[in-house]
Amino acid sequence: MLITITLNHKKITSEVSPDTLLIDWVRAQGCASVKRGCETANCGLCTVFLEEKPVLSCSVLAVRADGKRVTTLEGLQEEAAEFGAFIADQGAEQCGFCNPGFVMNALALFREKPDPTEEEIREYLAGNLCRCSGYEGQMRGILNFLAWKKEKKSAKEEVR
Amino acid sequence: MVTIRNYKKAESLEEAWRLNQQRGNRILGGMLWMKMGKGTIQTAIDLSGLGLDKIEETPEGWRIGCMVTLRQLELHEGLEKYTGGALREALRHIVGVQFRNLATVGGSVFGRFGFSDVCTMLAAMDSYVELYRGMEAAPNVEAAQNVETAQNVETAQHVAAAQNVETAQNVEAVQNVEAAQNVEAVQNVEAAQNVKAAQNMGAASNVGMTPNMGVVPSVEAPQNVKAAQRERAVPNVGAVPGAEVSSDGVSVGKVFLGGAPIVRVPMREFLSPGYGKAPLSKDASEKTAEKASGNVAEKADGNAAGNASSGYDRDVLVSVLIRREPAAYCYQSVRNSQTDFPVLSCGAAWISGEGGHRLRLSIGARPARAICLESGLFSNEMPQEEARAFGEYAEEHIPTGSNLRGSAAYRSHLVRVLAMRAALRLGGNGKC
Ligand SMILES: Cc1cc2nc3c(=O)[nH]c(=O)nc-3n(C[C@H](O)[C@H](O)[C@H](O)COP(=O)(O)OP(=O)(O)OC[C@H]3O[C@@H](n4cnc5c(N)ncnc54)[C@H](O)[C@@H]3O)c2cc1C
Ligand code: FES
Ligand code: FES
Repeated sequence: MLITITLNHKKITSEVSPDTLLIDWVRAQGCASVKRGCETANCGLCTVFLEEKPVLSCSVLAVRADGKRVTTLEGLQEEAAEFGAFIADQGAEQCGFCNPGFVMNALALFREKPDPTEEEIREYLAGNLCRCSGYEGQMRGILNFLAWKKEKKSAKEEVR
Repeated sequence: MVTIRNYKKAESLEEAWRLNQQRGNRILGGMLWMKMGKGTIQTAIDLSGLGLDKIEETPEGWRIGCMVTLRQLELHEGLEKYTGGALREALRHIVGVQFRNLATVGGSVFGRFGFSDVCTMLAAMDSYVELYRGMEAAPNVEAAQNVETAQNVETAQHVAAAQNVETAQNVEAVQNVEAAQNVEAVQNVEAAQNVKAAQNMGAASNVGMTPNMGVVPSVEAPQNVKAAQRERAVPNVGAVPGAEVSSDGVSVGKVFLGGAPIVRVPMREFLSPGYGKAPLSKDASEKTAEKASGNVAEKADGNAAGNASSGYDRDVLVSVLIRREPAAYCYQSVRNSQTDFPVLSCGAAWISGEGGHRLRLSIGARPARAICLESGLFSNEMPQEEARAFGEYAEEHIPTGSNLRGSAAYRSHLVRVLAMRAALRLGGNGKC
């Protein structure tokens, strides 16, 4: 089947079989950040944005993304690097395997809720499993990042 | 992962329904459950081009299209407000946001999973399933009911009996209205009568076990309980419109929505063991619960002339209707760890009516499918002792089983605690 997907702002037309999963399709397009961490739709490692929403690419048929926009970490380099530094600062990244999915979903959270509470952060990121850390480092990193953003914003407003 | 040979984006419900009558074809929901299965799907039928991804406010309540995601449902302001946050509570523990952005209401309800938070919550509400051309499988209901009665399968009989009685009453009312109508209606009446007969049988054989029919001891005695039941039957039964009249009303049975022939089934009936079998069910706990209905389906198969596979399970679930009622809701679940399946799930409604309140309790992840208990009348406030008595009654009457997430004894204990908490939270002074 012929499908056209706008992947990281680039329109790509390709031939897929009816059961090609989106995860395998984006990987075939060179987006290696997207990984499979489980077989049961549980780990969140395969998170991509379908239009603007974070979804598990391991559970979406590529044909269902036909005509839509798909964004992976490769398409969000700047945003991801900015945020990722705060996570690294806390040593929250150990083996790092969970990181791409975690960063994607954290970015989705910030878009949906720019100023989340700790409880909201926990709830939004509950579907991103990490087998190394105890999630505490990530939480500290997120809170630091949010505080830094707030500061940056208020500094900007003062200048104005 | 399943293998999919062909993919078809349906252009109409009729097309989806026709395709779905062929063995080997399957409707795609969010595909999260389906994906974990093995085997081959001939044609995967996609309903996502039919505008069924909307939550629509109607005069009676809300109509939720089958392709609405669990996340959409969770974030819906009207439903959040109406349920006092209970619906959101039922959904927010399901795996993660990225998962809930995909999982659909249609797949969640049609799957009738025992562990389902979605089904547990919907069963606690006044909700209905709307199936495209579902009535065409109606003769199977009789077979299904008979088999169920004969085998006396689930131990949930008393509760099922209570449900049956309610249904029977509805059917009866529907019958009266329909009786005056056209030939087609007469055929329906015949089907309905059979159903009723079968159900009465089912009910009768169980009544001895629980004379109160799932009604807990309450401040007032059995007469009131009966009154409450009569009252209960009424709001569910609107007039069934004539064949050409399109209806948005909450009548059960055959209705027309935007010209499409739809059969509307009360959620609790849809979830009852005899109704259908869970498709692609891999959960071991589910298997036990579904064994009975599996047999039913085989039997029903034989009767379903021309229909592939098991009658009802070839239906297309178009939407779920939530009817507004004067009620407050709460939802609780117990999980061994965040985002895991629940060990037990509990939805409850505190329904105001003339002379007091009734409590409707829905318990799921028993580990079998959700079932409901309905209380008699309580006065305006739920005293501590009554709440405790309600918990004990629920523990005694709601059957539980064991699986790797918890033993039957543990689950029964949880039934008591959660039922009591629900009673206190909704009817008490808020302390629990
Ligand atoms: C790992 C995992 C954990 C889960 N944990 C929980 C949990 O804790 N609590 C909970 O409540 N649920 C849980 N679920 C279930 C989940 O929420 C969904 O209910 C489930 O995935 C089915 O929804 P779906 O949209 O993915 O349907 P699918 O998997 O696509 O479909 C399920 C079945 O329904 C049929 N179907 C779908 N739509 C229709 C329709 N419109 N008409 C007729 N038939 C249809 C399909 O053919 C299929 O047989 C979990 C699922 C998974 C995979
Ligand atoms: S690979 Fe684990 S959720 Fe997709
Ligand atoms: S750092 Fe290893 S899985 Fe998260």
